[in-house]
Amino acid sequence: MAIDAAKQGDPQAFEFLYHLHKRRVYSLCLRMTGNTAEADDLAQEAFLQLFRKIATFRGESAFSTWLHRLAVNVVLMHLRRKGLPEVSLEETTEPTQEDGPRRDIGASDQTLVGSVDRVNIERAIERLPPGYRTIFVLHDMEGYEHNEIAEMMGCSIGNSKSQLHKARMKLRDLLQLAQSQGARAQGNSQA
Amino acid sequence: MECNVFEIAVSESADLSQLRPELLQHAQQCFRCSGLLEDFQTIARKARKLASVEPARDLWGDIRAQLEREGLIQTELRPAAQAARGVRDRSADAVPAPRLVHSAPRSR
Repeated sequence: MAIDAAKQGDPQAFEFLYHLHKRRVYSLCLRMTGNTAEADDLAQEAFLQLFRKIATFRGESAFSTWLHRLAVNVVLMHLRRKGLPEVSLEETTEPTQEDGPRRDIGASDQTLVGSVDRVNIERAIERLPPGYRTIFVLHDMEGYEHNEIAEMMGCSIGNSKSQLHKARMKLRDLLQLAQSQGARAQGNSQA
Repeated sequence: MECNVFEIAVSESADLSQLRPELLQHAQQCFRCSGLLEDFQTIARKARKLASVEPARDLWGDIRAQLEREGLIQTELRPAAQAARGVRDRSADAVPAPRLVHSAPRSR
């Protein structure tokens, strides 16, 4: 109903659709960029494109799916224009100096189960290199498959898989680091 | 199965909760890989549960202003839009007033 009215240029229908979908679109933009100002601009651009193209929406897919895909494309175009720092396949998941001492990848003397809180995971996702973050958000958070990601990003399916693996490893590394820092801080406060 | 083969296969799995039997079998026998799998599942599950966020500022005002500049928003509805919103068309009941359709030139 609101979609039909928006196709006719009804401002209230536009506003209704904006308020209905703004959180999902904005959250996607924020997770993919890790920057609130960019997320604001990109969410705005996504809605503008939505309303410019709404007459072409034929209803073959769900409206929210269509809008979501459109928003992803807006963010990807932006990252491409910005010169998305590609993360090469050779890049290792070795911690940087600021990450602290190196740990063996894959070694798990403590699992993360139960110890990952919202703040830590938000922070860890933000700290991912942009290429890794994009693929992690699209695959593990938004449910896109590797072939869809490869098509959207103009990369091979193998590249998408490889970067997802490295993103997960890097996230795990960051979260383990946060966990050990948290435990150390707790120990110091008790001493 | 080698652990590095397991790691790659896990990343190729669209759904970490539905791994192929040979991967699950390896995870059951390998402490290192079972920890890795458990962590990946935890991270993905918790990341999906992150709450959606409200835009930092109200974007609607700017969006509306831009749509008006582009002539995509009308200040008076066409009958089809009224019908879509369930507004009764009163044009048959009264003398129609002149339509005030906002159509600013499209900005370039």
